[in-house]
Order: sequence, then structure tokens, then C-alpha cells
Amino acid sequence: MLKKTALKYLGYGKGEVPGEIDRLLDETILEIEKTAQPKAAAALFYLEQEPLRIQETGDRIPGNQMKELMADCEKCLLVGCTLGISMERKIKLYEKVDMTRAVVMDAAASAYLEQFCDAYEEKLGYPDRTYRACPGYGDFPLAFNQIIGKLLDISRKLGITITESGLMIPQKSMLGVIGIGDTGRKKSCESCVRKKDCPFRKRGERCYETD
Amino acid sequence: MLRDRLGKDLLIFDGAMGTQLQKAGLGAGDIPEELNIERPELLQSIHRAYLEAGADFITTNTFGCNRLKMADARYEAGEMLLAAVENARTARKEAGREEDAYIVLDIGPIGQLLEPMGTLSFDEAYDIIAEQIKLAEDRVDAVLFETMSDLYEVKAGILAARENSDLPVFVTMTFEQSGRTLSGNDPETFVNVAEGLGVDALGVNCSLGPKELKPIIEQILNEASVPVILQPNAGLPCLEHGETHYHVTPEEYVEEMKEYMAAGAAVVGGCCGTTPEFIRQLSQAAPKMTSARTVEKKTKTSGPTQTVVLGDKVIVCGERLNPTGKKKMKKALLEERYDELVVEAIRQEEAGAQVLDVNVGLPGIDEPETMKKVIKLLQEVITLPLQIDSSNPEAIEKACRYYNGKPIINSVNGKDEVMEAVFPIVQKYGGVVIGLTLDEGIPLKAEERFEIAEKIIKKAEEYGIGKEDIIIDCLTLTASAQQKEVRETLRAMKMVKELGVHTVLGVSNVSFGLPNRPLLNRTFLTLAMEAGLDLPIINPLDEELMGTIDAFHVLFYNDVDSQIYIQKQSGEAAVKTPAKEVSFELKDIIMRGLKDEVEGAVSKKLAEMEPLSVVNEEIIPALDIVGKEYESGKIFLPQLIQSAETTKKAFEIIKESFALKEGEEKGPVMIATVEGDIHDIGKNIVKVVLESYGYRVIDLGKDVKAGDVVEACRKYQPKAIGLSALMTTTVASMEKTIRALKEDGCRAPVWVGGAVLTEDIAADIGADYYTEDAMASVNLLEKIL
Repeated sequence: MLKKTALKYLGYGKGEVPGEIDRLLDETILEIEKTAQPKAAAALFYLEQEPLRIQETGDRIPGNQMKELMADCEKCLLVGCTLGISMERKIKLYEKVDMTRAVVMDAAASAYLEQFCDAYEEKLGYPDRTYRACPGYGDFPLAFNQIIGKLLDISRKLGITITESGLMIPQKSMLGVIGIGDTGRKKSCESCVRKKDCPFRKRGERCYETD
Repeated sequence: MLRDRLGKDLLIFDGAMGTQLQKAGLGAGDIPEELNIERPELLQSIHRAYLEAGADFITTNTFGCNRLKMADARYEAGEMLLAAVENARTARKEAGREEDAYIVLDIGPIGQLLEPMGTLSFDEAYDIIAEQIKLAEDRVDAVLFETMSDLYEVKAGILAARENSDLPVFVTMTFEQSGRTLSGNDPETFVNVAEGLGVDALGVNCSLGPKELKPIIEQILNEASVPVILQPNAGLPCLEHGETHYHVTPEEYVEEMKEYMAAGAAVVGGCCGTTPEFIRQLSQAAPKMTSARTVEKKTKTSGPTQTVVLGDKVIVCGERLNPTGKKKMKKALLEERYDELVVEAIRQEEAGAQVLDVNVGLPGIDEPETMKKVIKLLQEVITLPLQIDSSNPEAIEKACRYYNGKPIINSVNGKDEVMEAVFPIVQKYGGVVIGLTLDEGIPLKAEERFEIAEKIIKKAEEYGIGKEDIIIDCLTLTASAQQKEVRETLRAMKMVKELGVHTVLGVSNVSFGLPNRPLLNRTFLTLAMEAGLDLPIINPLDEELMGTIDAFHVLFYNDVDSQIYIQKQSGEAAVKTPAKEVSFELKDIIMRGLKDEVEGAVSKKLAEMEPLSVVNEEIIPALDIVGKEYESGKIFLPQLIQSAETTKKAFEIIKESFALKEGEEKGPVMIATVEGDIHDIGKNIVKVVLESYGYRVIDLGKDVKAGDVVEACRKYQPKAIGLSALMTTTVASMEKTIRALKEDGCRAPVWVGGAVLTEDIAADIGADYYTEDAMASVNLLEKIL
């Protein structure tokens, strides 16, 4: 699965993967396993509806997408995951001496982070949870990262910082909101910012089943 | 005086502030510092409770009280900071402890990561911290940097405190169970760097309980020469129903802490989860005096996340970052193509160098500024300790200030004026300094060199620089010119070792002017190691020379059971890979991206045809096919880049052997990732692909301010400027950059790209062109230039 996701990010979703790239990807995944220092944190909060907000702190969760997703949820989990600064440094190192490896590692690290987040989420043990919604997708503003960051104390617990322009460092980090009390809403391509010019869709691939 | 008591009397710190505030109703996401103004009586009562429990120190409620973190607070950071200090002072007075209790200004992490991994510059970090110090400097007794996870930020903090006050400085860092901080710093490196910068006490706090911190605490107690301060949590935090709980009881806590006090901890307190009751029991259990510790002094140099100890084994210092006698590096430095230095550094590390010498001294170059830039770029990807090599004190000072770690400084000599210029820098920033045994000239006799070494050691002592921070260079002489004196160097080294210092030598000088230099180099190296050489400065890419060191370690019982030697010299690694058989034509090699085979294929072609024909008839057509296949979706990004890198290498070979004329290089074009954006892999891909098409690319890097792009545009007069932005939020700085360029009269077309950009956005922000990817950038430039 990890390999498949990485290959998709690299463009090989449907096309043939040359042997060399395949080997390079295998090597890269081994190196990521050695380099990454995955860390995760989560905290449970109550939700208030209309307007949607975190009960304990009063922070609004803006956007229609979130309103809909959380409509049947009483609580939510804020989660944060990162592969750590050593991963960041490794990719940058390869950008200097071996760009091909850097590009493959960048994609593989993204896939690795995704897999790590999924496993962490599973381990938290909420069977009736929604999918993980991340600020920056659809009308869920990127600025909400600051709220998650504050409530999870991510710089202290995970070593993630959010820059003034809203970027996360290390880049291979994820912040998200998961509703508890799901009624089966599926992630779709509808709300993606890249929907109109999605490079995957151009190649006839897609990330989610529905629009 | 606090400084007089520190390390003698065993002193007690207070416990958690946050835990107490949460009990009093502070909610998740609330700003604790606001309470300094809104509920002064609450803060005073917490301080009082700790004082009454027996604490000698109370810490102000100012953990996040800097202007960045407090941007959304209801009050100004400075206002809350002063209120916090007043609350502590009031509490101390009310408790009747004005004579013997100390108020500590508490400073936590700024909350933004420093360059080069982050966006906050070292100077900005310094300013933010200096603001806090200056405000409280005359109203507190000490400064505490706590819960730190980035040693570089610690350095900015210590300098800000020392340069803006006379307050004692305490630093505690927070370690994970892995034994490192979140930024990757280990205890040994922390101790080495912080002591070099002159802290009054250092230690650990937060994250784990006293039991889990044991290996880290023991290491610090073993290695720190300054008093050690310990403030663990009340065990590991457990998250229950949205609240954090700690399960260690005061009794259990004190039981663990007793052991550390017996082992020599000088200041003890608590962090998250501890309460006045913990402190009361701790203070009752604490002996009056700090237990004595013995710490072995060692010569240690540190990079950001690793420390190298001299003396146990021969340590290799890579010599290649030095323009002397290296045309290519000279050119790279003059043209500010610093990436080439970074690549050279990575190669040396891969080859086994453990320290890297950095020399950027060239006529016509601003050495201090260049040194600063190069060190920053190196430390983005290299964590080895660096050896700052310069005869310019200003360049040394700048390098030491901005270096992340404790460097080696190369060098001083026996001249008083040189030592007087450099020793204060070593003393202030911490460093291991190399002393050359020469003054007016190189003395011929070993005895005379020994005398100079003695003089250097004595003079260093006057500046508080101990022997452990000095390495002596007995100077290699050239066998072809001074054959008789070569042995004097070895003799001098043996004598100098008796002084209790370590030694360094640049090895390759010995063979200058003679044939088969490598043979002489490794023979001399062997003799020098036997005479006590600890730090040879050599070319680590010379495999046989490196092998000599491995062999030496076997024969001198440094490589027990010859493990390293066997690993390197047997099996696959030792079998020399023969030059690859050229099995493909150049065109195929480029299309398949076979970087390792390109050299042979290019040489073969160059024997048959003109260099320019190789470019135009072989390389470019092959590359065009690759481009078309990429555009049609037959191949994908990794293959495109592989071909581009292979082509780039082919160009380099052709250039090196035939020096393509000026007109044959396209461009120059300039590229940058705009301010606020630090993810520049996309821009770097564009760079590689453009270079493969023969463009000279001036890469300004990431997070580049509009003003810097304008300045570079004036300087380099590029034919086109490419800007990259990844996020919607940084498109604004892209717009700002374009506006600044146009206002400055720059006429070069600007093309833009990046994840969130589209044709429409590009037009909106005033860009001349938009390109979707690296290949499109090539097509655009081929069309418009």
C-alpha cells in the first residue's frame, strides 16, 4: 500500500514503473524507516453545533464542509502527526546531491506519513469516527492549523511549528480533525482545491471515489 | 550572591506553574500570561506557596511571554512580563524571603523554528529574547531558558542574556525517551555547547519523570563541569478525558531525586504535575550542600546534533572546503554558487570525514559575510562539527556567532596580537582553538616549536581557555624543500603531547613537489599518528589514505577485534568497482538517466567529434525526446530528473575538458522560492532541468525577501526570473516580489509556478508567465529568450 501510494504521487498510478525507479523506491522506503522519528498526539473535545465550535475553548470550526461532516458528532479528536526534523534534513540533503532520490523520497515520505497517521488513528480506538479532515482542504481554512497547534501544544509535544504563512515545519507533518459519531460520510474530490486542475484526474486517476 | 552559592549550597527550585493555574481554572487554549494582569493575587499565592514549601527560587509566569507568541493576547507581552515579575516580587516580600530567595525570569521556546530548517533568523530570535531580558534585567536575579528543544535557540538566548545583562543564566532542555530533544540534540552536545557559551547552570526539565530521565540525567552529571539543575515532571503525562494527569506521588518523586542529589545535582525542583507538596518534601529531603562530582575534561567539538571527542581515536578532518589551489571552488565562491561547497561537504562526510574544515578566504571576497552564508547552508544538511579556517578575526567572530554548535577555530599562532584578537572570541562563544607553533616564522627545531606551544597554552589560560580547548599544530614541512626538518615536526608533536593537549596536522604539505604524492602522504600520516597525531586534516576522498587510518587503529588496538577494518576491507566494499564498461550510446544513457555511465560515454564521443557537436547532435536531441515523453505521460518526474541530472553531468565533463565558450551557455536566469515559503523541492527540480538544457541558473534559495530578489536582479542582470510559491498564503509575497521588481525597473520577464498557482492567479499578481512544471519552464524559456 505504501509503495502504491508513493508511486501514485510520483505519477506512476497507471503507467509502467521502470525497474530502476522501483528499486530506488524500495531503497528509499528502507532509509525513511531508519531516518523518520514519527510522533503523534491527540486530544478529545466536545462539540457544539450551530455554529460549530469546540465546547471547551469556544473556538469556531469554520466552513460548510466541516459543518456537514460534524453534523452528527458530539465530540471530536484533534490529531497531529509528524515524521520529525531528521526526515526533513535527509530530503534536503538529497536535493543537493541526488535530485531523483530526493523526489522519490519526498513522495515516499508523504505516503509513509499518511500510513502512520492511519495507523495512529486506528490505535486511538473510535470505531464511529469520521474521516480525518485537514485544514487547507475545501473551505476548511488553513488558519485552523493554528488552533489545532495551540490546543495540542504541537511545538512542545511534536516539534511542529507553524510559520506565519501557515506552513508546517517539518513539512512531513499532518494536523487534522476527526469527528466522533460518524454516519458514514466519505471523503470526496468535491472539496479539493485542486479539483479543476488535478494532475491525477488529468491522467484518469483519482484520490476518492466520488465528487 | 547567587553565583557564590550555586554549586555549593544545594538549592531548591519551585514546581509547576501551569498545573497550579489549571487547578485554578485555566482552560485549554487560554493564555496563562494574561492572568499576571487579571489575577495577580492568584499568581502571588502560587509563588508564596512554593516559597513556604522551601523553594529558594520562584519562576515568573512568563513561559511564552514573547512578542510572537503573545500576538493574540489581550495585553502587550512586555506589560504581562513586568506584571509577572512584580507578582513574584510581591510574593517574595510577603513571604519574608527577600534576603535568601531568588526570582528567575522564565523564558520558554519562541515557538518558531530557526533557520536554516525554519524561517526565524538567528538575529530575530536574539532580538525577541533580548527584549524580554532588557525589560526585567534589574528586577530579577537570574534568567532560566527552559523546556528548550533547539540548541540553536538556546545559543541565541544565552548570547541575548549575556550581552544585555549580568544575570546568571540557567538552561534546561527537554529530552524525549529516545535520548534526544525534538530538534535532535543529545545531552553531550548540549553540555558542550552551553558550557562553551558560559552558562551558570544547565540541566533537564519536563517531558518525562525522574525515573525515565535517568540515563539522560546520569550522562549530564557525568559530563557537565557547571552546576546541574533538574526539574522533571511528576511522571509521564496521561491524557484522560481531555485533561493531562501525572501519577507519580511526591514520595516517589523525592525517592528518585535523592539519588540524583547524592550524585551531585546542585539545583532541584519540578516541572509539569509537581505541586508545593512535592517541593516541600524535596526540600526536607535535600542535603544542605551539593555533593561533589568529578568530571573528566575532554576535547570536544560539536555540530548541531553530534559531538566528536578527540583523543580516543584518530579523527579525520576533511580539507576540501578550501579554495587554495582549487580552481573550481574558487570560481564557485566568487560566483556565489555555494551549493557546490555543500555537495563537496556531503561527499566528504560520505567518505568518512568526522570534522570539516571550512575556508572561504579569497581576495575580493567579503569573508565574514561569505563565511556566515556558507555555514548556514552547510548546517542545513550537515551535522558534522565544522572547523572555521580563517586568519581574519572578523570572519572568525561572525562564524562563531552564527555557527550551531561548538566549532574548532583554525587558528592562532605564537604572535601576541593574533592571540589577543582571537582568544576573546573563543572565550565568548566557546570553541576549540588550533594553535600553530610559529611566530615570526616556523622554527626549525622541535624545542622551539614546543616553546611556542607552551606560550599559546599559557596565554589562553589568561582568557579562561583551558588546555582541553586547545589543539596544537606542529606544522608539516615540505620534504622537497626542508627534508631534514620533516622529522622535527614528529619530534615536536611527541613533546607537545606531554603538555596534555591534542594535536592536529595538515598532512599533504609534506609531499609537495615530489612524484607520487599519495605514497608520501600516507607514509607521513602513519609516522605522525604514531607520534600522537589526533586530528589529521586530509582529503577523505583518498581511499588509501583513509585505509591507512583504519589499519593504524587495528595495530594500535583502537579497533577492537578489527571490526571496522574487516567490515571495510573485506567483502563487496573492498572490491574496487572497475570503470564501467560503456554498453550504451550516449543518447541512450541520457534517455535512461544512467548517471554513472555518462562519463565514459562522453569521453568516447569527444574522441570522435567536436565538443559542440556532442552537445547539439547527441545530448540535446536525446533530451528533447525525454521532454516529449514526459509531456505525453509516457515517463514521469523521477525519470525526467534522472535524465536531467545525467545531462548536467555530461555538460560538466565537456565544460571541464574543453571550456565551452561564454556564448554557449544560456541565460543566466534567476530562480527563488518567495518569502515565507520554505519548501523548495519544486524550485530545485526546475533548476536541475533548466541546467540540463544548458542554462546558467542563479538560485537564490528559499524564503527569499522581495528586496533580496531585487538586489540580486540588479547584480546578475538575469534574462528571466522564476518565482515559486507552494501555499495560497505565500502567493501574496510572490505578488509583492513582482511589484518590487517592476518598480525597480527590472525588465526581465517573470515566470511563476507552484502547487496552488494557475494561469489566472499568475495574471492577477502581475507575473508575465505561468508554467505548470519544470518541463514547461524549459519550453517557455526556449520560446521567449
